[in-house]
Amino acid sequence: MRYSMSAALLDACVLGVISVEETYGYDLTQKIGMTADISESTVYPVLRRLSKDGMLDTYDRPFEGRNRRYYKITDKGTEFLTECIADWYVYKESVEKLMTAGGCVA
Amino acid sequence: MTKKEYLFQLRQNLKHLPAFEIETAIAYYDEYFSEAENEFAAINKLGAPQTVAAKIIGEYAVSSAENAKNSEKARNAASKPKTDSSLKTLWIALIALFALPVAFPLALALFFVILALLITLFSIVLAFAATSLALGIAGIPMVISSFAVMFLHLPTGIAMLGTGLAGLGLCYFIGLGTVMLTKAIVRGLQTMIGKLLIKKGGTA
Repeated sequence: MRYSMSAALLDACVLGVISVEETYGYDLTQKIGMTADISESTVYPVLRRLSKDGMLDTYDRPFEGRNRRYYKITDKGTEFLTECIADWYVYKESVEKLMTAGGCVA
Repeated sequence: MTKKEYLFQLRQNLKHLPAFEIETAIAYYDEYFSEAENEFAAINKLGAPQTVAAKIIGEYAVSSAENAKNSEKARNAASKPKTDSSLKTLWIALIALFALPVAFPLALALFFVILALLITLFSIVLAFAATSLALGIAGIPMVISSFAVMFLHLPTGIAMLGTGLAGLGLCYFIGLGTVMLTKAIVRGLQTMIGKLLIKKGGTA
C-alpha cells in the first residue's frame, strides 16, 4: 500500500472494529494488520490510551485456563467515533476532489 | 528468545513507568503470545523489546503531557498538575529513546542534538528566572529605603517607592511567565520525544 495510516486514523479504526464486535488485543491486531501496514506493537499503546481517555472499557473472560482481556466501546467512545466518521467523509471527499477533479471545492 | 525472556526484557525496559502501566502492558503481551499460533513467530514479528517498550513509553509521555495541559486549562485546585512528575516522565522518555537499538553514530548525533536543545531551552528559562530574581532583589530594598528617603526629600522618596514597586510587579509577572514557560517547554519536549519514540518503533 502506497498510503500510510496516521495516528488519528488508527484511533478511529480501532474504535470502529471494537464498536462492531468486542474483541481482544491479538484478534484486533490481526484484523487491523490485514488492512493497514502497521507494526504489531502499535496497537497496544493505542488501546491503552483510548482506555485511559474513557473511550474503551475492558473486561476479562476466561479462556483455556487463562484470561482474555476484551475491549468494548463506551458511550464517550461511540460519540467520538461518530465524529471521526463524519470527519473522515469530509476529508476523503476533499482528497478525492484534489486527486481527480482539480480540487474545486463545492 | 522465549516468551518468558521476552517479557522479562520488556519489563526491564518499562521499569521506570508507574507499576499499573507496567502490569497492564505485561499482561497484554503475555496474553498476546498465548494467542499466537506460533509463539516464536509472534516474538520475531513484534520486534525488539526495547522498541515495543519505546512505543508504550512514547504513548504514555504524549498522553500525560496532554492531560497535564488539559488539567492546567481546567485549573481546579483538586487536579493541580505536579511539575516534578512531568519532569520525571520526560526523563523516562529520554531513557527509552537512548535504549532503542539504533546505529551508534546515529545515536551519538541524536544525543548531541537533544543535548543542545536542552541546554538552549534551559539557558532561556534561566535568563528569565535571573531577570525576575534581579528585579525582586533590587525592588525590595528600594521600597524599604524609599520610606527613609521620603523624610529627607519627599518627591525622591515617592519616585523610589514607585520604581521599587514597579520592579516587584515585573518580578512577579516575569516569574509567573517563567513558570508557565517552563511547564510548556517540559510538555513540549515530552510530546516531541514521545512522538519520536512512537515513530521510531513504527517501521521496525
